[in-house]
Amino acid sequence: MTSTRSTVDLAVGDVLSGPARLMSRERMRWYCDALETTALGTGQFVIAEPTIHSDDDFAIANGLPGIIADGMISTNWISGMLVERFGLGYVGGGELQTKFIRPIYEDEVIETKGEIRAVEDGERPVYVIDVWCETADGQKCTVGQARIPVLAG
Amino acid sequence: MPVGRYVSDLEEGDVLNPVSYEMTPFIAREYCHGVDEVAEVFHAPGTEMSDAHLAPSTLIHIDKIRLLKANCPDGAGPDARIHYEYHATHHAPVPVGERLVASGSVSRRYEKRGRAYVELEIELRVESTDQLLTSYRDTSVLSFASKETA
Repeated sequence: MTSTRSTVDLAVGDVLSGPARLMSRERMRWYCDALETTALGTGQFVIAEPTIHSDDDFAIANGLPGIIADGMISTNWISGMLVERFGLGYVGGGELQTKFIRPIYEDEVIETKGEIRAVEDGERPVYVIDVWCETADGQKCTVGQARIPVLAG
Repeated sequence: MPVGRYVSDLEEGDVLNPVSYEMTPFIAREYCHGVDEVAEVFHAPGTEMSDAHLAPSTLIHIDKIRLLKANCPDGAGPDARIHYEYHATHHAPVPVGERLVASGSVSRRYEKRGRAYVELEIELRVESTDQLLTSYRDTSVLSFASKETA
C-alpha cells in the first residue's frame, strides 16, 4: 500500500474547510436508502421505510417540526474533509468523534470546518483538530474532534 | 438468537451476537453515493492514496445497523431512535474484498433529562486474521419526544 499524501505541514490555529452544501430532501433520503442498502449488503437496492429523516409526518409524530438530516451525513462531510487533507493518516490511523448538538433541517446550507487545536509531540506527532459543521449564519450543528497521526514522509 | 425484541430493550452489559460479512465494492460505493464521498480510493483500487480499494472510514456506523438488525429484529421500539454521538478509532484501513466480523456490546444505558441513552462499543476485525481494523463507540437517544435538541 502506498501513499503520496503522507505528510502535511500544519500549525495550531490553521483552518480546514470543505465545500458549502445544501442539505436537500434528496440528500437526506439518499442516505436513508444507502444505509439500508449497505446494511443488507446483498447488491440489491433498498428503498428505506419512512423515518424522521425522510417523512415529515413520521418526524412530526416524533416531536420534530419536520424531517431532519441523519447525523452521519454531516459526520461524513467532516470525514471527507479529513480524507482529502490527511489521506491514509486518517483512514488508517486516525480518530473522529462527532456529536449532534442541533438538528439540520431541510434546505439549510451547511459548511464543514476544522481548526488545528494542538500538535502533540511523540515518535509520531498527532494533530488534534476541532471539527464542526455550521449553518450559513454560523450555528454549529455537528461538533467534535479528530486526532490524526502525521505519517513518515 | 436475538438479544432484544427492540433496540429499546437493550440493557447495559448485553453482548450482541457478532455479524460476519464481505466488504464488497458495492457496499463501499453505495455508501459513498449516499454521503457525497468522492475520494477515488473508496471507489476503486490503484489510486494515488492506495494500491488497494478501501472502504469509507465512516462505514463502521453501518456495522452498528447490522448488529442491531441481527440482535433486535423488530426495530427501534415505541419511538424513533436518534443518533447522538459517533466516535471511531481507525487502527488500519478497511480493505474491500475481505470478510469482516463486527462485534459489539452495550457499555452504558442511562437517563438524561428524561430520555434514555444507549452507548454501544463495537469492533470490526478481519475474519481470517482477527486483525482489529476499527473501534467504535456509538451513543443514541432511544426517543425524541420534544422539539428540544438532545
